[in-house]
Amino acid sequence: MTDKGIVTANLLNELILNLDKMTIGEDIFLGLEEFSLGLPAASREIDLCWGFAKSEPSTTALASHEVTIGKGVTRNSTGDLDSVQFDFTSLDLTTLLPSAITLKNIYAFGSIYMTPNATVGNPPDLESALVKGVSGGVNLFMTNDLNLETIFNMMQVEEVPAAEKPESNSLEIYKFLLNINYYNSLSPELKDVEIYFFDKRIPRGWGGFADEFMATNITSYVVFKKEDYTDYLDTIQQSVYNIVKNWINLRSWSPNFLDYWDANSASMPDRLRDYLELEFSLII
Amino acid sequence: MADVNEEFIAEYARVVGNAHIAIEDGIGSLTTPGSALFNLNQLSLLATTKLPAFGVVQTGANTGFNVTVDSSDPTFLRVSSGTVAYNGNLINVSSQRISIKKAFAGSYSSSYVYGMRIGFPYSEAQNTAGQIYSTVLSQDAKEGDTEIYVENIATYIELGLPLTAYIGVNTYVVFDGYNAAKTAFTIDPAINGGVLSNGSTTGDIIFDSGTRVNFIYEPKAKALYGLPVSTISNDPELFNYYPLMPSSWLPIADVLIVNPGAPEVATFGLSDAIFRTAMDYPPANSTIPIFTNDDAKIIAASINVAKSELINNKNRASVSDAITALDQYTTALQDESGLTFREFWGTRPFKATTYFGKGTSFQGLERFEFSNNFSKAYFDITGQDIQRTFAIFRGDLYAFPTTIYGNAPASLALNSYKALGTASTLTRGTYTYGVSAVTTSGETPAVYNSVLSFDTTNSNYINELQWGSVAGALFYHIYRKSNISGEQTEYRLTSIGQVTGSGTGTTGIVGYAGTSLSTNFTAYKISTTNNFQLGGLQLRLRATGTGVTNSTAEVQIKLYSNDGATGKPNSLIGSFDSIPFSKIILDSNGDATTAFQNFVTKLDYKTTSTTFWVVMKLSAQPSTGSIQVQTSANGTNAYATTTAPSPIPANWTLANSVSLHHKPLGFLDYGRSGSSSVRRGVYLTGSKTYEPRRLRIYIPDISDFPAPTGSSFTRGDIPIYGLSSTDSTETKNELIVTVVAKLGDTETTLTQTIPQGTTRGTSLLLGTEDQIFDSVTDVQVAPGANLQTQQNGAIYWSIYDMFTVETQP
Repeated sequence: MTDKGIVTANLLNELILNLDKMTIGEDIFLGLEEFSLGLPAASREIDLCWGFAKSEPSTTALASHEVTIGKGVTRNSTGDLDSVQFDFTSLDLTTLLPSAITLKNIYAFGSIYMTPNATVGNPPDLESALVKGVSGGVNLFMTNDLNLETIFNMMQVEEVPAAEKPESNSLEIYKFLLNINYYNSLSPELKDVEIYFFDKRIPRGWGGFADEFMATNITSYVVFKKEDYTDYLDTIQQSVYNIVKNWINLRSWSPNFLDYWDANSASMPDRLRDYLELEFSLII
Repeated sequence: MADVNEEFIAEYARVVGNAHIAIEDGIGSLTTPGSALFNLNQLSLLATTKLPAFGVVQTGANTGFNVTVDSSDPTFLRVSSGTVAYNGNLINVSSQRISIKKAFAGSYSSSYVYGMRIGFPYSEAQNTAGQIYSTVLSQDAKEGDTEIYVENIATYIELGLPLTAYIGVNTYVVFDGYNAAKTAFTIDPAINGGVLSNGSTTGDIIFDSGTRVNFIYEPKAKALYGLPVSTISNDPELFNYYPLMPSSWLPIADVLIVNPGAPEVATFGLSDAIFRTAMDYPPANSTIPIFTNDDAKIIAASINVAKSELINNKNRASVSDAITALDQYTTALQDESGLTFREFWGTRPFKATTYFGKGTSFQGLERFEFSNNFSKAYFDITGQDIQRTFAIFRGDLYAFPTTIYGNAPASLALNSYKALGTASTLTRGTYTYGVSAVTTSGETPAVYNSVLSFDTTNSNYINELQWGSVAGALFYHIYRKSNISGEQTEYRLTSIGQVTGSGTGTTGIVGYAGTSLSTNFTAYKISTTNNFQLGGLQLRLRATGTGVTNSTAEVQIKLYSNDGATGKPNSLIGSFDSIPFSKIILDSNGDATTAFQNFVTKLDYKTTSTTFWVVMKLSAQPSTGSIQVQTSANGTNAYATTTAPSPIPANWTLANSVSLHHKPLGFLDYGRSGSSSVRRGVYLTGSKTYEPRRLRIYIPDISDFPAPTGSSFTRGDIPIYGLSSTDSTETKNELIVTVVAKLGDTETTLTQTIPQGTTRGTSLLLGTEDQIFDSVTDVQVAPGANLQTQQNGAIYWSIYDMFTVETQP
């Protein structure tokens, strides 16, 4: 029988992870407000203002690559817009796969990142990376035992981790799935890889909804919605806080909560460990 | 009507859809594992009923679901029986074996390990234990059979193996596998030696085809596998490369497997590398419950508050307001049209693609379409799906079939050459070519063949095509399919009338000596067959000196006719691509060379006789040494020289015993032309609607075309054909459309005719009123009787022959 302290800690850990997913929603609503007002709420290393959509290739040169990312504009840490990226960016994602070995019936996962240009004011760099098993390790691949529908759902709901950021200030704009039916870098003519994209872009705009119909009907909603959702999320966060507080104060901890977890520290799930430190100043 | 800012609305809706997915997934429901409400319910039930909503329950002194290496066969794991709580019930899961073998395509060292993760999916609990699934035998079952053929086997394979079944009234079998064709189950050898028998003579029919087979469902643990990696430790608890497990699975164990070629469970210390990950809950009657009564009182109250806040105020998290706002915006846009929300957004016109991404894009034209996540949000909130486009057809991209008459060319031979002298954009890969003939009656089907352009160096290639001639051919069309995996786009490389010859040429002449070229004209006689599509020549050149500095100078090569009276070069036919010294002085690795190398030089010409002259000269002498062409010491009057500035017959001097090393080549593709056509003209979006609806064919408006360059409309450097700015917008041809639609797994084929002259905005319903579908798997288009044809009989396809297959708004 698993110890009840560990069982309940794992349940609360999952609850807090779900709360984190709801917090993503808060950032999305904030992004919508910034997009509709054209007003950034904070100064960030990089803001996606508009564009960088996955596009159809428009030239034969682009068509010879696997992915085309369209035009777009970003805002840098100074609060100014970067130069507009007028060029399309082409990427080849299968070149991220290991060379000289055959991969068949495999799923690989990755992210496309936007990294601020070293020269402030220039368009950002777009880089792709595969999910690794551990930082600095090799790629995490799995055989296709799960059907595509299940994998899609896992990609959508963040059960597949993001690939490691190329730089600390990089911004994830897409997740992607490589459904590798066959790949070997030595036999590119036999390549059979399906690529699926999951759009993570949150455009934060720069000019707002100047159109009077949009401004009248949508902007007001967006501003109200962001405030209402933040208020709602605060309430839920307080409720979860109360649950965790009551859990800490349960009478049955033996000999007491802190001593119990001193003895079972290795079994404390990571997210709950962080939560306890952040919200209750309890270091496990 | 006010302008519609489609790009902003598309972005707004896309982000709203993403918010819906994130929030709904976070909040979830009482029955969606991995969500906040599910977790709260789990805690709440533990406090009240003492059982989890979904979890492993330890019913005895020992835990269930213990994983060990199977003692009879170490390539299997034995998972002991266990109990799972599910919605207040306890499900008993029988002991089972799970194979550790996984067929990896690559070869891995014996020290490599792969992770295996065993879990119990929520879906297994949802499938009621003991539920009976029925099918029938698809073939007679005979005495001694080891395989039993059943209808719809794929459905029952999904239930998981082994499968307990009864054939007929009471013949008990256990299936533990299926044949390669996935048409028959194999009987578990543990049951009567793995054969069907009732004691009759081998081969006698025991059960007729059509006899009922009942499967008894038993929930099972499942396994996921990672790819082998090199690791320094076999500690199963610290291994970082396990496959990802969905949050809807209960974890049972993580296992490390070593030596992928001959797998066995790894050892860690003295133990097998098996790490049990199951979380064992006590049964409801346990004396040591997760929450004591005192604890339950404290925690249950706060859990119920959180639950009710999540549920009762869920509308505050909903994006329903976003849809309402969009609805109001939609209404405000319309002065008088009175279209519904779905009608309005489902009838937006096609416009030139802007590359900011506002909808469904097809070869430079794009139509507004909501994202899939917004569709999900719309459906979850309104119970209806928004308009879905399943397919787009563009007549201007429909190169084939036009009117199909006659037979395809009888043969198509392909060769691939390294592009040493001529720039090419064809890289390594398999290229598929098709060649059709256009006669006065129309276009024939194409003959297809593939060629592998491959070398150990990462060079570019030129591909050669030679095909059998077709009687009455006015010209030929050549198509190429990209070497990009999965891309079904087929490009037409040729314009009308460009390629009129066909057939095979002569094998040419093999040389061994070198003849120096100069800035004067030198001519070599060559032979081909008549009516041959001479696409170019392969010949051999070298620079005798190293360190040639004037590398931009070039060898100029021209084709001349033969003067029948004098046997000398007569008049200029055309120019082959020149070959710069820079290409001659370096080998394919970019290193300096003085050796002869093969060069391919391109020309498009249909021969009208069998004798020609290749005339060569240097634009300048090399700075050192000479430039030589390879020749043989054979031939009579096959070589001619002149110092005169004008190479007319009178100025040539014929000589014997010098023949050009050469090979006449058929049509050459070097990737720099074409990209004009998509053969079928159909783009399938792959959409699947959340709400099955009746389908329609819609003739959409096209309000904005890509900007023209010269005589063609283009997107970037890719031309778009079939459009004239003076065209009327009605459809130009009668189209017979066949749509393969699906509802669930059931496919239905529907047909509809789009009359010639149909106006834009017309909607033609598919099927009958009660036929609803959720997806489309194929669309085929055939020309009807009323067609607009060109003088040569080929159909004049227009961009206005465009339609979509979509849900009825």
